Amino acid sequence: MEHNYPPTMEEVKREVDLHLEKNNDMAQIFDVYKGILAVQLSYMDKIKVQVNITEEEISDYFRKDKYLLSDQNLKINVQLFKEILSEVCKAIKEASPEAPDSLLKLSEAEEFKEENIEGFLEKVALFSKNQLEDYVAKEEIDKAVGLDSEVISFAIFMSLSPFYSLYMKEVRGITDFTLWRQSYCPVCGQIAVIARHRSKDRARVMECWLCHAQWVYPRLECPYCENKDHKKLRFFYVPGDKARQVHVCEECNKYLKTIDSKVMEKDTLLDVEVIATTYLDVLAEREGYRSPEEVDALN
Amino acid sequence: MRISRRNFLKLSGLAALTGTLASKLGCAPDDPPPEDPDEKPEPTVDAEDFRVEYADTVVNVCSFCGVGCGVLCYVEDGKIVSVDGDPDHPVSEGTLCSKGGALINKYYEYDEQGNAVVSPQRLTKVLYRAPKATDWEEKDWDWAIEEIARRVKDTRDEHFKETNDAGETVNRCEALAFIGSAKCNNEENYLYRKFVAATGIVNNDHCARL
Repeated sequence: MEHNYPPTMEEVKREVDLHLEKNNDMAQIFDVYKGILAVQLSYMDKIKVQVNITEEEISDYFRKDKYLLSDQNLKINVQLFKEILSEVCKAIKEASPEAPDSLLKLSEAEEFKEENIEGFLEKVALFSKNQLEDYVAKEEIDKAVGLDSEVISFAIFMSLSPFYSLYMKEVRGITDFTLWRQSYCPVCGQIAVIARHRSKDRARVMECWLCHAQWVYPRLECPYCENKDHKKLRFFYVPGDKARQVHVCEECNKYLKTIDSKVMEKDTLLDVEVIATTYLDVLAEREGYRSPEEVDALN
Repeated sequence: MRISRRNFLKLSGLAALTGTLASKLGCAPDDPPPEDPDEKPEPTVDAEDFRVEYADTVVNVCSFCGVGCGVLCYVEDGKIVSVDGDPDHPVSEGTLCSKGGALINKYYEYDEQGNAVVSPQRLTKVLYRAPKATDWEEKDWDWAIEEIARRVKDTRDEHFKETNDAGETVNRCEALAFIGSAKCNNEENYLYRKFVAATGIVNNDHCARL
């Protein structure tokens, strides 16, 4: 499957500028995103990951609906992780000066000290967003560093993302995920919250927000409850923009934001779209649907 | 377009940046400034006030030829608004030929003003024309299925031959013919062929001879 992750900064800037022409309110949010992405891209060449698994073994995982990192070990270079975390926090603060000052000291927290960091990462590496936030609150890391648990968990995920993305790229060199048919990612297990309809054949391609793996899921089936009754699967859009859709399931009431590449006449960057289409999340909630994130991955 | 702070949701991944996290990081869009009587305020629309259109996706099979490609029909207010190839269909995998791609034009015709109207020739009910009759009658599906079954059974019983002219056992019915369909899947065609063999019908053909 064609997959162009990571994008270049020029591609991102081009896409972001198109969105800002329509809605300049998001300018600072996109600045934060671009700052984080620039840090992630600058570390891509320094990170080395190893995938010690054969195509046959991967197929075996997928046939059992098990994502790879559920028991494969991804060795994270803790020093690099710490550097990325520090740079990500700096980038956020730079783009959003109103962000708490304590953000700049997050990487100095007890959990990220040399003796603790490896154990901490092993523990949280497969957590979903909610699980990580709960863990941060339970261990009172938020109180210790003076930051909200959502901010801490976001910074950690953004710093882990380059490691997972590179691992995913290595795996993609071995297999193309065609055996995978779940709502959660075949590599890291995070639940997909956005998809595209590929222009070439109209297939629904889900994308993981953490490692950016892409896999195909049947169009007329709810990824979250496997409902196949097309009378209970609908979509809505804002009139005038049919390329950005929200596919809903009347059975489980979950929704999936979807970009129709044929209507849009290009393959857009889903990371940018997921930010630009927040109004669709608001509308989905107004219409009585729930975010897919309310179901945790099988961690 | 504006996302009001009261609408902030708890989202994950990068989407979190636009939800509750935005206010925690100080990058949430500012609330609109107070109206300055000397300046025309910039119009803003709250996202939650947007109107949305719902659409359904209905799976179908192209009716043009024997290949039987899968089609997705998009339906709004009970009318087809566009069609696409079905990417999950095992035969066509999302592709359609030029005729299939224009399938929507079988559904509509154009009035004198050039408006698309649903074709009145489109059959939506069972129609029956009795032998030698000139007019069609509307019937329901239960009647039609029972009638077809009864006539097949009667014809088969009346014309079933256990032996041929030479006295050899043949157990066949030559008075009926069955034509299969490319719109059926492998399992359906298997059942169809089983039925034909079990009833002794020997005139059996298929349209997918492209």
